[in-house]
This record gives sequence, structure tokens and C-alpha cells, in this order.
Amino acid sequence: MRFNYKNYIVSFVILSFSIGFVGCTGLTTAEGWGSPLIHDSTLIAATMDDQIIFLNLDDGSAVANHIDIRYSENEMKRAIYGQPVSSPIYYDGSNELFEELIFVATYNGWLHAILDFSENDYEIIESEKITDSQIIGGILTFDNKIYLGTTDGEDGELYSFQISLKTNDRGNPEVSFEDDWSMKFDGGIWSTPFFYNNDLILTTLDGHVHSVDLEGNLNWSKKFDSAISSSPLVINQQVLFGGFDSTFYSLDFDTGEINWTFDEAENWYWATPVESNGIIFAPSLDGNIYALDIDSGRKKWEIQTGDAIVGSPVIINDLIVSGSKDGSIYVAEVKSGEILGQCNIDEKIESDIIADPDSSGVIYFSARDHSFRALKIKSNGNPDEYWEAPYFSDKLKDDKLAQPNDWAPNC
Amino acid sequence: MIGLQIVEVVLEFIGQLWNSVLIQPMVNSLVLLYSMASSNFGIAIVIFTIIIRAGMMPLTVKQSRQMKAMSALQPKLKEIQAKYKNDKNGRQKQSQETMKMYKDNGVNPIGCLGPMFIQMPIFIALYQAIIKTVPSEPENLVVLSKYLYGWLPMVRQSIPIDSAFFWLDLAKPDPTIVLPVLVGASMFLMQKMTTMPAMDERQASTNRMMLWMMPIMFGLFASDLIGPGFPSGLALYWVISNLVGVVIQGFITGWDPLIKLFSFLKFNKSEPVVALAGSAATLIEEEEIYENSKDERENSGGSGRDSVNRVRRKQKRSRNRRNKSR
Repeated sequence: MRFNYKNYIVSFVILSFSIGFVGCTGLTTAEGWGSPLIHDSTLIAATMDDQIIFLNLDDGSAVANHIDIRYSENEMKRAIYGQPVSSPIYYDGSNELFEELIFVATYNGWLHAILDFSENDYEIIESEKITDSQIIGGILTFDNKIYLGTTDGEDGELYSFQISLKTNDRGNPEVSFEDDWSMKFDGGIWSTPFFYNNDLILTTLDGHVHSVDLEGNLNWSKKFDSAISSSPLVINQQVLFGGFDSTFYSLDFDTGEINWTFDEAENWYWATPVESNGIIFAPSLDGNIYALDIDSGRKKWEIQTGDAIVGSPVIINDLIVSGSKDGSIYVAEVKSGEILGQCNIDEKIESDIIADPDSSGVIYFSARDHSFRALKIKSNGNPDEYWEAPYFSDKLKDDKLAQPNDWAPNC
Repeated sequence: MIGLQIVEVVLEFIGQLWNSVLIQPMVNSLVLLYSMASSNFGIAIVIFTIIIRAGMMPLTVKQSRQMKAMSALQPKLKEIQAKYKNDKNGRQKQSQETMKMYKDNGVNPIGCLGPMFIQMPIFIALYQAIIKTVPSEPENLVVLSKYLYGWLPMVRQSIPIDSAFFWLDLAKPDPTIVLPVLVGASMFLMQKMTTMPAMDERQASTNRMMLWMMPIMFGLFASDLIGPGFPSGLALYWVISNLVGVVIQGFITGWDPLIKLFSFLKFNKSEPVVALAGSAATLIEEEEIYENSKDERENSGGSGRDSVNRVRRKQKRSRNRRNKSR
């Protein structure tokens, strides 16, 4: 056999690159989940491309120019994990309503206030770097105040900002975020605080659930065995959430004592649970949604999907609609858990699913291919495409239409 | 179309195999070590790197021995090259004679590549496991949940990993230049220890380039000077892995490259032997004998196998003398 060094070296290099390619794939940079918000007749969303977009609910076309929230290519990505929120804002020291503002917080610690000056004339009126930590949970607004949690390595901090609104000499509104109070915790905060009975409930990554009053005083804390990233839901004096110990909990709102637990899941709980008619729907990263009796925690049924459920489902009439990382939207009957309809868009769905209560069963969500989509859920549970095409934030066009035009429907 | 589908299926199968055979065990071991090392991920990486390096010791030893044997045959190889230098049709003859020489001396010229083939995927998997275990983005934490064994509650409950280690956040690049410099320096030492003697000027030039290029490249990868750098957890792994590699290499093939590098040690050449006890001293002594015999061989022009046998006889005599003196 003739020995040839070159062949071996070339084979070695090719093999090394192949292994390197396989080994290095699958890592994602911070892009956010892209959960949208319905504001009047506009769908407002933070995209995975550092923009805030404003889409027509009915056809997915852009009703206003998108706003870039990253100012230069060299700047760190400004992923947004929490949903944008809209909140009525009052003039300082009065009950006079100014306007509804939209707030967006970014992963790298910026807080933006957006105002619709006239019909669909959106502009950022204030951007402030409020923290050097990361903001992963969403924003809670109440009574001219913003509450949000941050994460800095192992530590977390809950902030309260007073939204101060003034009119400048030119008659234009000026907003600023004044420090109200902040509270440090030993674990990072990845959840959105929940407002209930004038208290805030939040979870931390060191496995605590905290109850804090609106002045920043701790009511109670309860420690669990594992991290908690899921935002809590408080209903009927019960604090409901799941943790990384694959257990779903119900706590007493006043004391933090455990009412009941459910431990049949095989992976962590991540998304916020939803409730309908005394049934709690707890989505898990094991790909199942567990329907639990709110009083006892007893399982009524479960829906199985093909991959993790990261975003919260939505209830439309007597149907529950959920996305899954397996790329499908599942529609099931609330009472029985029977899956009535399914649509595979072949792209990971990690955003919350939201529905416009007035639009007779249309749901909105985003997918990992940077698209925003709308599906109409028919009364028999069958999902149909609602827009002519999804809106792809990485393929922006000037004509403001949903694009691309040559896209083929999935559902 | 069908071909594309077959490729997709094959790639998916490779991906699943890769994950379940390499990534999952590594990720879970890292998290387990983390929970056992008082929730210190830096220490977990150090221990894990040493375990992996120790586990791969037989391969490393085999590779180093092959390289050593190849080095011993360099003079003979040069002779063959010189013999056919001016022969226009001598290429095939040269190749045949070279192969015969390797065969006669029990050396497999690609023997040192075999262990590298096996080590390569393990190192890449380790790299991926470290990055997956300390995700700084929520997306990657969700992905991590799929890699954890459900039957190991200790593992599931240790997440998220505290990535702080001294001044470092192991999930992010070192903001200082300390770790990149350590990566570069340790890789330089590793290169210095493993570079085979050059057969000709062209190879010598390649060796010189690799000696400097690799440390500079990896040092830059570990910093954020040329874009977002690799997480410092990975850089820590490189540093430890290189240092362990240098030590292993030193015990197998001798410390000469390092001694030459740190020229001040030339004046105290005997000191390392004194400082090291037992087997280490034996190895260094063997190395000295080997070097002497190499010079002898070059002067006498004896065959490779004879020289190797002479070296072994000398080593045996040397061991016997030492045992008697004890």
C-alpha cells in the first residue's frame, strides 16, 4: 500500500471541521421570545431583531414604522423577553389622564416609553438605562408606577419607578423614571411580578416566592428546593406557580403556606399558568399541559405536545390554545383536554399566545424564524391562517405589508 | 430530493447520538460536580478537566510515544530523503523505503493521528457541554433542561449554575486580559512540548508558525478583542487542559523543550531531577539516556531498531543500578 500523508491530513482536517460544525451548532444568542401585545387595534411586539413593530391586527401589515432599539451594530443585542405593556398615565399630582403609554424593557437594562402621538404615530419619548443588570421578566405597571425585577449573576433586585410626566416649554410631553424604591434578593428575578390585593408576588432563581407590599416591605418569603423562573398567577387567594423541581405549587396568598402540590411533571415549569372556571392549566418544559383542580391540585387531564412549552397558553371560550417548541399550535377542549385541532408551522414557538377578546377567536404569536403570525381558531377547534402571510421582522420591506408574498400557508 | 431527506435523517441521527453519548453525560457530570464542589463551577470545571484528561491518558501516552518514536527516526528519514534527492524517479522508492523503515521499527506513521481522532470529538463535546451548562441566555437554559437526567434530582435542582469564579463570570468572556494571556501562554507551552522536530526547513517554518499562531489565536478567542469572546469557563478549561497536557507530555517525552525554553534552567539542569522523586526521576533519566543514545546513533549511523534496543538495554541497566543502590 502506498502511503500518502496528504490524504490522511486532508481527511483529518475535513473530519475535524465536520465534528466542529456539529459540536458548535445549537447555541443561541439572546433574542427574546417576541410575545406581542394587543393595544386597541394594533399588535405591538418586540422582535428578535431589536425592533418594536406595530402591526394591523387584521392583515399583519405595519401600521407605523418600526422603532429600532439598538443604536449601532457594535452594541450588545437588546433582546426582549417580557411582553410590552400599555398603561394609562396621569399628570403628576393629579387624576387628569394624559395618555396610554407603552413600556418595553430590554435584556441589557434599558427601559423605553412609547407614545402614540396621533393615530399610529408611535415614538419613543423616553429611553433610560435603569440598571447594569439583565431584565428578563416583564414589566408590571400600576398607578403611575413601574415594577420590574432584574438579575445580576446570583443576585436579583426588584425596582419600583415612579413615572413622572411633565409638559415641556414646547408643549410636548416628557416622561422620566424616578427611583421610588428597590429591594435586593439573593436570587435573580426572571419572573414578572404579579399585582394582587395591593401586594406584589414574585419568584426568584434561588427558589423563593416573596410577597412585597407597594412600599417595598417584605410580607413573607417561602423557600423551595429549586429555582423558580415561572411568573406566578394569583387567583382566589392562591399563589400558583411551578419550579425547577418539576413541582407545581399552590400557596396561601396571605401566609405563603403550601395549599397543595402537583409533582407528576418530568421537567421544569417555565411559563405562567392560566386559569379558567376553576381549572389551572400548568404548561411544563416536559411538553405537557396539566389541567389541575384549583382547590385540590388533582389532575383532571393532560395534553401532550412534542417538545417544551415555554410560552403561556390562552383560553378562548371553551378552548385552550398553546404553542410548543415542536413547532405546532395545539387547540384542545378545556373540559376534557381532547385535542380538537393542530397546526404545524415547523418553527419553534416560544412566545406567549395572545388573543383579542373582540376578534372572535384570532390568536397571535411569534416563532423562532422571526415571524409574527395570526391564526383564527374556528369553533370546532380547527386553526386557519388569518393573515395572507406572516410578518417577518428580519425581512423588512418598505411597503409595510406582511411578507414574503410567496409564502405558503401552513394551516 | 430523496437524497436530501436521507442526509437530513443521517444528520439528525448523528446529532442525537452526539447528544446522548457525549453531551448529556458531560453536562450531567459537570452539574453533579458543581453540586458536590460547594456550588463552585470553576472548581467543577477544573476537576472535570483533570478527570477527562486522566481518562484519556492511555490515548495521550500512545500518541506521545508514537511521536517520540517518530522523532527517533528523524535522522534515518533525512538520510532516505538525501538518498533520493536527485533521483527524478525516486519518489516512489523513497516512499517505499520510508514505509519499510517505519515497519522495521514498529512505528505507525499515522499512529499519532488515531488518538487525535478520538480526542477531537471529546474536546469539542466538552466545549459544548461547558457552554450549555452555564447559559447566560434564557433560551439556552430552556435547552439545558432537556439535557439533564430526570433520575438525578441533585442535578435538576442545582440549576441555574452560579457562574461566578474569582473575578470571572464563567458564562462570559474575561473582561481583563488575564485569562486570555494564560490561555495563550499555556497553549504556547503545550505547543512547545508537543511539536515534533522538523525534517526540513519548510516543516520547521510551519512548526514556528503553529507555535505562535495557535496561542495567539486561542488567546484572542478567549478575549473580546475580536468580537464576542468565548465564555471564560471554556478558557479556564483550556488553561487547565493545557497545563495537565504539558505535565503528561513532560513525563512521557521529557521536559527538554521547557528546559530549553527557560534557558536559565540550563545552569541548574540537575535540579528538576532532584526535585522529582520516584518515577519522575526515572523518566527524566531515561530521557537523558535517550538523548545521549540519539547523538551516538547519529554519529555511528546505526539502524533505528538497533538504537532503540540499545536505549532499552541502557535504561534497564540504569534501573538495576538504582535498585541496588537503594
